[in-house]
Amino acid sequence: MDEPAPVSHWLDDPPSVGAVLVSHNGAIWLPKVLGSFSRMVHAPDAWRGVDVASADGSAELVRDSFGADRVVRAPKGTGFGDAVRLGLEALPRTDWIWLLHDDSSVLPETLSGLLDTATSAPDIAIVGPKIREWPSLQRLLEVGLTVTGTGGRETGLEAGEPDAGQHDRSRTVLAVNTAGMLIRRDVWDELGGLDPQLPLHFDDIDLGWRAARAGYRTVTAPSGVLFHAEASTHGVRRTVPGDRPTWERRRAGLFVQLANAGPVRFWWQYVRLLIGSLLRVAGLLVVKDPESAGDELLAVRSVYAHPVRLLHARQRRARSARRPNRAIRELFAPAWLPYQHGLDAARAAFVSMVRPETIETVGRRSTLEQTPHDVEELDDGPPLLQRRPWLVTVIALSILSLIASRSLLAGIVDGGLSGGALLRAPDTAGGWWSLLLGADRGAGLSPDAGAPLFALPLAAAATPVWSRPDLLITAISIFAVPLAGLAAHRLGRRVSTHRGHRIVWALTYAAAVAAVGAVPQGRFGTVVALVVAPIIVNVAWQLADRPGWQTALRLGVWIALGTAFAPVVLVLSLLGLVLLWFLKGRRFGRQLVVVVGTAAVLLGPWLVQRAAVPWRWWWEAGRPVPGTESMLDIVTGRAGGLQAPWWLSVPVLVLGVLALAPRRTRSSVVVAWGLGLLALAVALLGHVMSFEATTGRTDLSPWVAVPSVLWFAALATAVLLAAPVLTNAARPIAVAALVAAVLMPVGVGGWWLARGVDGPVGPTSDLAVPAFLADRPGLTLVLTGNTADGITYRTVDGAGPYLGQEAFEPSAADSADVTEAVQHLLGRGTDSDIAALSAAGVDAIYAPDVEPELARRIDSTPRIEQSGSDQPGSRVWTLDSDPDVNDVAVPWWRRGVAGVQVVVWIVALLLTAPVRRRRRDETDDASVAGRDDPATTALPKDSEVMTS
Amino acid sequence: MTRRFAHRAWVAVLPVAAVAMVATASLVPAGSVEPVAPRAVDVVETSYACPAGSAITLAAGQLRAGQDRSVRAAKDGTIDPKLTDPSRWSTASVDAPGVIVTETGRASGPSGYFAGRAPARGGGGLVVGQCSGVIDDAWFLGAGSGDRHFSTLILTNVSSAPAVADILLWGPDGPVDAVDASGVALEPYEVRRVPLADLAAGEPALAVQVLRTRGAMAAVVNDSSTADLAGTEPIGTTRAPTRDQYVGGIVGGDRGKTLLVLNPGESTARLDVEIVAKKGTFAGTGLQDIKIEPGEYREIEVPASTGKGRQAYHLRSDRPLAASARVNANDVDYAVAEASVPLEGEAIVPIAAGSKIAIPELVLTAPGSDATVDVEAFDASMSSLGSSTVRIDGGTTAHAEAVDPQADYADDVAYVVVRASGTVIGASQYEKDDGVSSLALRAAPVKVSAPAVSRADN
Repeated sequence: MDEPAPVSHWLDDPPSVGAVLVSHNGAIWLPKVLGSFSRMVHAPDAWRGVDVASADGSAELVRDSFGADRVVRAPKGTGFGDAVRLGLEALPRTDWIWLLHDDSSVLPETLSGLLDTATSAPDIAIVGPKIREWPSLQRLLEVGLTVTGTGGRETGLEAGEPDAGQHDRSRTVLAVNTAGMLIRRDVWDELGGLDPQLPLHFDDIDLGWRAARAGYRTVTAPSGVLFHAEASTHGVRRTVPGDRPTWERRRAGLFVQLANAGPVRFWWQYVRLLIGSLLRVAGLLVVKDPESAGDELLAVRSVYAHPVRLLHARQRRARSARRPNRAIRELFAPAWLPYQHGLDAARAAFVSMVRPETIETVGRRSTLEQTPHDVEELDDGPPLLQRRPWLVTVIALSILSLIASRSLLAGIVDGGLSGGALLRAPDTAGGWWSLLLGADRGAGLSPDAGAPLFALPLAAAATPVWSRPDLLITAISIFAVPLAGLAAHRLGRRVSTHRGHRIVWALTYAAAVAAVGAVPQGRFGTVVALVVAPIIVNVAWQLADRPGWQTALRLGVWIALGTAFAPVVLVLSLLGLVLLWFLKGRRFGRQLVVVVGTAAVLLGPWLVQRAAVPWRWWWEAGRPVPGTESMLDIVTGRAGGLQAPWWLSVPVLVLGVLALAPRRTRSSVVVAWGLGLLALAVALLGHVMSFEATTGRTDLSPWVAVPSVLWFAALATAVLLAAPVLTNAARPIAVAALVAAVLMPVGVGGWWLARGVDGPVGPTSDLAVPAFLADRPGLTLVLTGNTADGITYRTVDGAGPYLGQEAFEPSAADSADVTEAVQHLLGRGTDSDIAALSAAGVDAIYAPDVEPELARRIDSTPRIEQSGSDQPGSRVWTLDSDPDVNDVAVPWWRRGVAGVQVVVWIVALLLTAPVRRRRRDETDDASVAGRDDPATTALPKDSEVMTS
Repeated sequence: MTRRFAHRAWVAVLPVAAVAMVATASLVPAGSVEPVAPRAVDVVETSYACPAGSAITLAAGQLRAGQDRSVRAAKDGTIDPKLTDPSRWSTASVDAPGVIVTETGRASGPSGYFAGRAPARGGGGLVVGQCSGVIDDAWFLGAGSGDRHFSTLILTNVSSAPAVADILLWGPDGPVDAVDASGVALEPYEVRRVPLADLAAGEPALAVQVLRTRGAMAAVVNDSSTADLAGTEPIGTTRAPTRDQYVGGIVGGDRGKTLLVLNPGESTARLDVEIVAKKGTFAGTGLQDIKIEPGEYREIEVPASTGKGRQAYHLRSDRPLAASARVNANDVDYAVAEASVPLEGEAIVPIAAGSKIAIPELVLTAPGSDATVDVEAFDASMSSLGSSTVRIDGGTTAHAEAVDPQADYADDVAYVVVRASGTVIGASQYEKDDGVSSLALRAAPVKVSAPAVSRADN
């Protein structure tokens, strides 16, 4: 579509041009706009101003500039097309019509640039300038227009794209903006001008579309530059009664699509746009933008409730059309573009959440006003590490995570991760939804247990990757450390204003998560809880600073989320809230009630089932694998097992004690210590007790990583709070403190990289049972352990349980028959034992590593046969019986409760999201003060424009 | 000054509190996962297999009445309905190669026996044996396959699934290469008689190991000799090789006694034998520091100086050995006594097992401290008839009639139940006419040790 540069041959016989300026409460811009007209190197032959019921003196400004006889007053509510039509009636007939807005100013060469292009080919009927933003002057707004299949206006430009000449080639487009549009008068008359049904928006696209179907071309003229304030779009134009409602834009978009679509495509579009609009309404409600949702509904109603109007519009267009839409399909936006915009919006939302440290900009846009020579000599400014240290840190941390998690990377390819306390992910995200809402459960599972609450966020998060929910587990496991660092750093912004201090502090917290060894031990609940914990503290801090029900609600949601994965979070949170109440006084009581109430409601049956059962709050998501911590582990922020050397934490502990010394920061340091002591108390409590899981074992030692790490983190926070005093101390002291502070993250980082995530967790390459057993209809009885320590068994359905199903393990009472049968089997099994196993759905026995004596005993049991095994030392037997493999039905009320719980979570999340409301003062003159005043923003000098 | 110091020092309370909390917690025992010891589990079903035949009387009983008893005869042999009553001591003859009995009942302690007199052409002599339960790793000493000494290994698959076993043989020169002895497979409920001569002919002295590798299999050896020292004896399983063991129930031995020892290991074993006799324990002359080569099965003539009274042999070795003893009572019969573990629980001694056996004598050895043994007699309906107590001094061997012949209920006794207080090793010795037979006292299966079982938390 690019064309050769036009030649100014029109100067030999200049075509006549009549300009129509439409104004409506544009007094802010008009002085500058009218002034720009006076400097044009080639001016229109005739001018007319049309003022649409302005109440701000716009009509007078136009009158003073054009003369009273060249101004037409239009009644309020007159659309742009009708206003132009009024102007044309009073305008002598000219070859071309030039349409102008009251918020768009021109350069001296604008019209001549347009004419250069307009006269370059006989089929060019409409020409549009390159439109740049006013007042920034450098950002491109439009260089031609098109429309998406969803009725969206598409410029093809990136948001805020600077004008560096990248679009300075004339090209054929579907439409151009009416601001600065140059259109042949005969074509205008042939097409009937702008459609009165589109008084404000999409009239330009509609006109261009009709022109294209009539066989004319609409072309951009980048040599003609126009500056547009887009007052209506930005809502900065003062409105008066009778102005178009806010939903007019969407109505116009739908109308243009349906009015111009071809006969076949019309019906597809008719249905698609209706459904799509309703989905948009739902989406806007979800993101709490009720006003936009209302606009969408009103727009849909306006279009779909007037089919006759639509029919007439289509008939009119059919009369002027000379070619079908498919002949101009290259002028339309790609089908995927709306979805690309959706992804961009999601990405922008994510970036806003994890946005890096505030940076010093080098002002790239302004540099584009320099000459090309100057651009080459641009100073790149300080290095990225200096400009965005946290961003660089996060990137480095992510890379280090990938290196340290080298043993887990295979899980990305296939199968995900499992091992230790971590069970595999379900085959699809539907597995987790089924846990929550399913009507039945697999054989061998208890129908009486409630669904694990953590299945809800997992299901919601895994739904976009429906067939690979394991990716969610894998990604969180691999990037647990940077995620914890990100969460801590956001809290750090609230704790400290010193960038370097808080980065070191966030790294220390991230290192503590790595050091505790939660990932290699498959402690997924701990991982999530430690990522969520800084967010809980952050929101609690917000609540303390600015009490409000919405913040309290948000805090309740975060506590519930953390508790879902690690119920001990609820205990720690309640203790922290009590401390907050103690510090803030009774005034804070109501807020705490909201927090606790929200958490309790969101937790629902999970609260009863896990968090409220004494000591069972230690059972986190996954298998209840006992902890093996020592007292030293707890004191140094560890929890036993695969963990970093304890002595790496000692410097932080020492600094934590020293942090109490400075009087200036003591009050806040004491609060950090108080929180730390609460966490330490909980960790020590876990150390001296044991708990019972569902199966009746009462001697499970808790895994105390969450309170242990939080104790350590609290001391690190005390150091962060006192850091300004320490750094201002004598140089040797400050240096020693700095070295001590960085020793832990650096040391743990080295240990982490060298050792890697080497633990029970690994790619789920192997099934829990041999493949041929997984394909059998019944359950497989898996026996592990030995005679001295006892034998444990589990019944495995198919490939084995997935994360969340551990909550449905039958209780000791429910599985008493199976336990007794297994006991007899390992003593002297009988026919009735086999019958008991069959009744429980078992049709095979798998012992990965069984003692020969026990194997012989099983061998001697009647109705049991040896079968081939998958590895040396393991034994497999199949039962000569028909297993009862019927799924167990979940009580209806449990599903009902789960459904209500899902709804409650959605409602809570919606309530915590900020409500989007349009700024009411946008319509006031005062709102303009918040923006750069275009009236006071000088247009670029001619020389500058020439070089741009 | 003091106030200022106090104002500065109060923050020290926090670290002190932390230390105090840790110190306090250190005083409390930490929760931990303790290993769970194996536990005794009630036996609720027991299967055993008995050699059968028209000349053999089967006796099926139990300590307490069971719930059900099923009897299956090999090759469709006819079952006497009397045998299927789990609430009685039942005896019958079944004309079949073997019988499989399955009895259910919680801790009922089912036990089966067989008795009869072997035909003269097969060696003659008294046969009293215990039916074999499912064996895991069974050791039989005193067998042979040559020189008119022939043994037959009787294998029975007692379950509905195929059963497989490996058979290993040892002779005086070490392990014997047996033919088709590995992976001997039996169809469900099959009874197979395997003459050892088919596996390794020409071996007058053999030790046999049957290692079950699959399924449920019972095994017993029927040993017979037509040599100079003739006779027939069912050989039961002896203890698996161990360093310290007792072979009890040794009586008489006019034609000598033979200690049967197998060293299945790969190192030479040194063996010392003590004689636990009526008056005490003494070292056997010529039975000290005996070297048993690796893989060697040796039959050691016990010097006559050790006496002819009721005895037990105490074997101690530096390597695990398997041991039994053959007592050559006379020219026409012999008995084989197996090493056994001390009696724990209750053992059944059959009395009424056909008309061919007499009331046995209990030979009881208390290897350690003094012990007592209660002997309670029952009739066929499992009603108690009377009881007696036998006291055994520590380190001696005592004997008593299983039933007082003078007792008025003596003719009604079907079986006796022996209960030991203290460590007792014993056997019942049957003698009738010239026939002798020995039956080690083994507790009826009431409980079995099994590892503690718990359901994993997934």
